[in-house]
Order: sequence, then C-alpha cells, then structure tokens
Amino acid sequence: MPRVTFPFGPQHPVLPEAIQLQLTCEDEKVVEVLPVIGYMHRGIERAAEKNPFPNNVFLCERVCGICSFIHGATYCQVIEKMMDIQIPPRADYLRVFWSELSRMHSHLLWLGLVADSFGFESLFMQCWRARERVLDILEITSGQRVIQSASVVGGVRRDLNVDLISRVREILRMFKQEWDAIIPVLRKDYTIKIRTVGKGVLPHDQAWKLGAVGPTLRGSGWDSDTRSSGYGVYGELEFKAVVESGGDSYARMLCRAREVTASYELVLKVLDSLPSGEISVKVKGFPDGEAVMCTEQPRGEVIYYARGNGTAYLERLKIRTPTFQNIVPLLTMLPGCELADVPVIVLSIDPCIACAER
Amino acid sequence: MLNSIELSKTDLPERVEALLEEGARIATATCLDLGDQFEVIYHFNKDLELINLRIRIDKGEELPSISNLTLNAALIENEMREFFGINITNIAIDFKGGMLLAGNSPKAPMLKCSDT
Repeated sequence: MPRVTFPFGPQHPVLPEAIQLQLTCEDEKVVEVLPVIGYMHRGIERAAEKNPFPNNVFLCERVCGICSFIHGATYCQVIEKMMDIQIPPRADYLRVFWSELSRMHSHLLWLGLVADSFGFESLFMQCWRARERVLDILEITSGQRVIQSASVVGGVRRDLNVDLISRVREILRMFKQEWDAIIPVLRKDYTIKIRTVGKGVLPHDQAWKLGAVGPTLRGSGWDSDTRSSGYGVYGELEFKAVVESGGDSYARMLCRAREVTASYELVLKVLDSLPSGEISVKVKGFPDGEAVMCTEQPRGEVIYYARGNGTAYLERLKIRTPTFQNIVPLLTMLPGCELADVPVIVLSIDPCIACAER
Repeated sequence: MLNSIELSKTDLPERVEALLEEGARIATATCLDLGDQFEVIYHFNKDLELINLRIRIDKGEELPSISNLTLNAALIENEMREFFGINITNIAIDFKGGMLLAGNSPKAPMLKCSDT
C-alpha cells in the first residue's frame, strides 16, 4: 500500500489554534504522525524576567485566554510560597470560586467544539449557551468575562457582597437547569458514541508513562488530580477527582462533563462556606530563593517554577502547561485510526496551543 | 530553597531509571543560566509530590538526553536546547532547533547575555 504524507493544520476547521500534524496514511488509515509546533510562541517566560514581579500576574494570565485566571493565581501562589506569604482564608476561597468557574467555562467551550467537530450543531449551541451563564458570573464578580485579573500577589483584588452572591446563585440555578438537559445527551446519544467510543484509545499504563495529565490521564483510569493534594482550600472543600476508565475519546469527554458538575458543586460550597475577613495582605520586600507550585487547570496539571534574586525582577520563571504534556500521548493515540477520526481524537486532549508554546 | 537532590551528569541516567522504576515520571525540567554554567532541575512527580534532581554543567559541555529512558522528556529537552543553547545530545524526537523557534528567530533567547 503506498503511503501519502500531508499536513493537518496549522489552519483547520476543528483547530481553534495553530498546530500542524504531519500525517502519513496508508489509504484511510493513519500510520505515522509528526507534530509541528511553534506558530504561537510568544516568549512569555523571557518577558516575565523583564517585569517587576507583581506585574507578571497580568502577563501570566495571557498565557491562555481560557484558563487565564488559574495561570494568574498559580503565579501568585508560587511567589507567595517563595516569600512565605500567608493569604487570608477568604482570598483562598475566592480563588477556588473563580478557578472552578474557569474550569466550567473551559469544559463547556470544549464540549461545544467537540460536538461541532462531528456535526452536532444543536449540542454545540446548547453547551455554549450554558457557558454564557458562567461567563456572566465571571463578568459580574470580576468585571471581566475572559481575563479576570482578580488575583494579586497576597490575595485577590475583588470581593463578593451579599447582593452579588444572591445574583450568582440565581444564575447558577438557571445554569443547572440547562446543564441537566445536556448531560443525558452526552451520556446516551448515538451520534456521540459512534464518533467517540473506541476512538483514540490511550491505555492505562501508557497514559502515565507518556506524561498525560488532566482529563486525558483521568479518562484512562488514573485518580490523579492536583486538587487532591489539597492546595489552597481544596482540602477543606473535600474535593474528589473525577475518573473514567475507558481510555478513549468518549471517556475523556465524560470526564470533562462530570467535572463541570463537580466544579458547579464546588462553587456552591465556596458560596456556602465563604469566610469573612480581608481579601489580601500587604506584600513587603522582594522574592528571593526558589519555589515550585502545581495546580490543576481544566486541561490538567500546570507547574510554575520561580527563582528570585532579592530584587523586583525574577531570575527565572518556568511554566509547564498541560497541553505540552499531552502532545506525546496524542502521538500514540493517532496511529492506527481512520483519517476521519483524526479531528475528534486531536480535540479529545482539549489542546491549548497558546498554553503549550507560551 | 527547593528540596532537591544534587547529582553529577554521569549519575543522572541511573537515578532517573530508579525513579521511573519506582513509578515516578518526568513532569518538566527547568534550565537556568548561571553565567559559565547551566543548572538543570529535572522535576519528577509521583503521588502528587515533586522530586527534583539538580545538576550543573559547564556551558558547551555535552548533556546526554534522558529521552531514551522516558520519551516524555523529548519535547522538554528540545525546548531547553532551543531556548538556552544547552548541548543536549541524542534526543529521541529531535526537532533540530526548530520546535518552537523559527529559522530567523534569535538564537538561545533565554540566555542572560541575549538581553541586549
């Protein structure tokens, strides 16, 4: 059988961002894949050495337009760890509040995109309508829909008052009604199953060895979620990871869908148990030494390493994003699949190329 | 300071192999420009904990890739080589300096001397 090699991307209808996969096929079967990245590299780690350290929050939020809040918060956490800053409990709860809303809107965005990738237009619209509710909450609580800029080193810059909490609960009620109508479709629909079950299988042992993170790892049966370590106040909120065992695109989709519900419940828990008090502490001095912080983004574990030198400028900031980790597992999912399944399998890792390339 | 295990580059493969056998995996690696030397911290994770291996090598000195032990290190090492010009050899998937940077990009842009 003759082999044909051709590019998939960097511009492709299912790719929200630019990445190229050089696919080698025998007839309709994919036999080899080589990724070509670098279209979206922005030198963010280098830029972080040139800003005074408090300003890097805004830079780090721009690593990704979807999980922007968690990038900003993780940066703050690594600096706070290095400088031994204890933030007020209320700030910790508020960070979880915005983080989980970010996860909800990210997963809903992805669910819409994957529905669109196999032509399920009405599901795409339903998911994005539900996502609008979440964006509305982000807007009324932080002032911004996409880049919240709510975290600062030492805490958060926005607070929730009683009126705002009441409005958030009302929007969450509307969201829940819409979301409850979508879940059975995701679980049972024939079209979804035929396009995702058994597609892009990542075996249990390979998922760990190849470095998969987030729903890509948990969809292969691994109970591994950085939130389980209890950072911030996840320990107090009795967080439990969502795990699916199928290892295929369907399992990864179900994992994200269940995480939307889990995040919704965490947001309600935060509102129920939000402690009173200050939302930030004054930061004195400059970072010196080094620290690492791991948190859980919608796509998986993100790692921030920072080294300070006692000045306002960092010596080094290293950011390891989840999509960077999930590229190698993707290369093992694709060989052997049908060409028509490539878009769904690529989407099944929820690729965020802006994150991966920074 | 970060909890870490300091090693020589010759002890690195053996230590990495032992960590992999214990069920750890590489999470990422951080390279730092110290002037005449590079410092590389390999971050492994196991049970939601990080294990950090730290080595120092002179600039220009060869550092053998660990991607033959764990394929997942390949992209991480390609990135370090492109950003710092660190001489990592025998990477399992070798982008030959073109993974994130284009042909006309600045060379080794993360080096301190490239500030000007």
